Amino acid sequence: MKLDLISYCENENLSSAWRLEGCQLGDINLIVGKNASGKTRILRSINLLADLLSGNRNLRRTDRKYKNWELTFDSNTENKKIYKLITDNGVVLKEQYDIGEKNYLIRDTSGKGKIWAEKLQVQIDFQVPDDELTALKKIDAIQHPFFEEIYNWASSLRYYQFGTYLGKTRFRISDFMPKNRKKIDFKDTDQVIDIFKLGKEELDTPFNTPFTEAVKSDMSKTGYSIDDIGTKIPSFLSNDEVDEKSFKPEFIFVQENDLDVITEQNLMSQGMFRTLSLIIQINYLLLSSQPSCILIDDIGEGLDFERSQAMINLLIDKAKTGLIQLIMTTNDRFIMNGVPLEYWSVIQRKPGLAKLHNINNSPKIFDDFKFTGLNNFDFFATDFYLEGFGQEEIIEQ
Amino acid sequence: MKKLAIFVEGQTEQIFVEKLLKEIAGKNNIVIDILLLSGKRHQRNIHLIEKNNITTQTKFYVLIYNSSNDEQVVSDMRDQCISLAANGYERIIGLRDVHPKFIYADKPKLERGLRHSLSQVLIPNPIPMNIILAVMEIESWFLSEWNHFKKVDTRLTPTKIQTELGFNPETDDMETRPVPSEDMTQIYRLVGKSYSKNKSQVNSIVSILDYEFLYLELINTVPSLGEFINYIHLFIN
Repeated sequence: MKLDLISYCENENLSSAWRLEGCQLGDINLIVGKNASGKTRILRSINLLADLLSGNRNLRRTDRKYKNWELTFDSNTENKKIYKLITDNGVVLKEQYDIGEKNYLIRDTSGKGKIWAEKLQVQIDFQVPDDELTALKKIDAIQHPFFEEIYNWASSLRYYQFGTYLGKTRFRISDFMPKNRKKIDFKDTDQVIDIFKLGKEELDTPFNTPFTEAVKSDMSKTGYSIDDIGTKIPSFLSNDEVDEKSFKPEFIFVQENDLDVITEQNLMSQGMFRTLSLIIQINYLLLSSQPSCILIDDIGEGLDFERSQAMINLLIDKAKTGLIQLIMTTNDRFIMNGVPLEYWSVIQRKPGLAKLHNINNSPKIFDDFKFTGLNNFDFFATDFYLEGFGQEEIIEQ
Repeated sequence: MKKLAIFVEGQTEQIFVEKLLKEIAGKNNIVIDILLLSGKRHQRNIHLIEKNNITTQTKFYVLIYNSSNDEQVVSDMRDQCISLAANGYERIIGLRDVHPKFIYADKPKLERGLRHSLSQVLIPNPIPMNIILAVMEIESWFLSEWNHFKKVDTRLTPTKIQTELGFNPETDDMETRPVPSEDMTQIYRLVGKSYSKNKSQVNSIVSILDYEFLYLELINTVPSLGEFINYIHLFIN
């Protein structure tokens, strides 16, 4: 199930209203905008809905603002799916799900509604608590199998904030390690050590280590060549200290191939650890066969030009396999120059509105830019995305 | 002393432009320095590759920037124009090919786009900036100067080229040839020679071109060459 289009509005009719327009998505997307133009807000709105649909967050515990989502999936197929949700003050005002021309769910603020029952082949009445989503509450492989797809999309969506620690300041406590994967919160992007250990346990064998090799290979592609990766007790803790305690903390370490000693996570640069963390988490996601949509805010933040380019190329190559949909944001010149314009959506900020310009809604402007002989960054920096060549005459100097 | 900056896309253009300028202005009147711009788009490195002494006789000074890449010519012009204007340069000219990223039909759009890019730069004391497209490559200018083929080998007459390769550099419009450098290769191959863009071969071709023919005749029949030479005339005069 692939997200093709999102409309979103919050605080409608208030002075703080904010609306997202023109957010058509492809397999690879780079959302470009100035600071405070709404890049992060777009990703957060998608992530929040995914959290609600996967049960990762409770509607009562959100900020209770009025929110209105409309998500369109698989729009190029006969089974175009549209999911609509309006919430306010911690309760659902409206929820609707259509596939093709057929309505599968409609409910109102009372929690009452009609839902299609697949085995019975009729619409049946139902009622759910007003603060719960029907698409989550009514998952039923026999009567309502259509909700499983939404749940799978939502639960496997990941949101990475590249400008954050991504687990660098956390260590794992061996004795308290979850015994199985159900206890790991895969949406907590700081849990990288647990995900790394799980990847080795589930995907690697003594004779074949596809997960570890994928991590090493991807690190090398991004300019960090490593010969080995593992976990260990942090060296700043003495064995005596560790034995005295009832738990054993663990850090990730790598052996860089141009160094004689290992580098533990606390000594890695922020850029290196962010890269490593993202690579571990995405490879686990891909190799454990549960991919859907990956959101990455401020991609490349903290990396130099060469590495940010390499990181982008790596992610684009993975998305080109068709296994994941990639939605990234940036206002970084290096990143913009490294990503073809066909993947771009540029945010035009207006009061209360974020309008996205992309190749779908502005094909001529996007096509014309190749004739300017300029870098992609200039498409954004010179506001070419707004008017293109406009009506101007060629001025002979 | 009048100062001009010319940005070119590569070594072939750099060598040709240097020779052309000396032919038009007269060797003793002009001093030409050459800078090589290299590196990624955002991190350009500048290397001085030719430096000559200015004398009391020098009337014209030209700084040629070799941008090392067709896509980089306009960006480099934009990056350097403010300091060039501040340092007394009175005109900036850019020269790049249409091929390989664009086809013949794209030429008007490409011209418009590149000029648009140059017009967007705000220079405190504006100076003219012109971009010339060699259609489809600068080798179309070499093809049009068909006399020089006989200096390479007396057998390379326009008739032989017509018979063997199906086009006539004397009578046909060489700007319509899709890949002129490929045509050069084919012509040289007719007499068992090869055409490459290495420095010594470009130097030897440039040294046997008939410059009188270029700026008296071809200026009227090869529009892109004519435009380029006209801008040089504007500077010289």
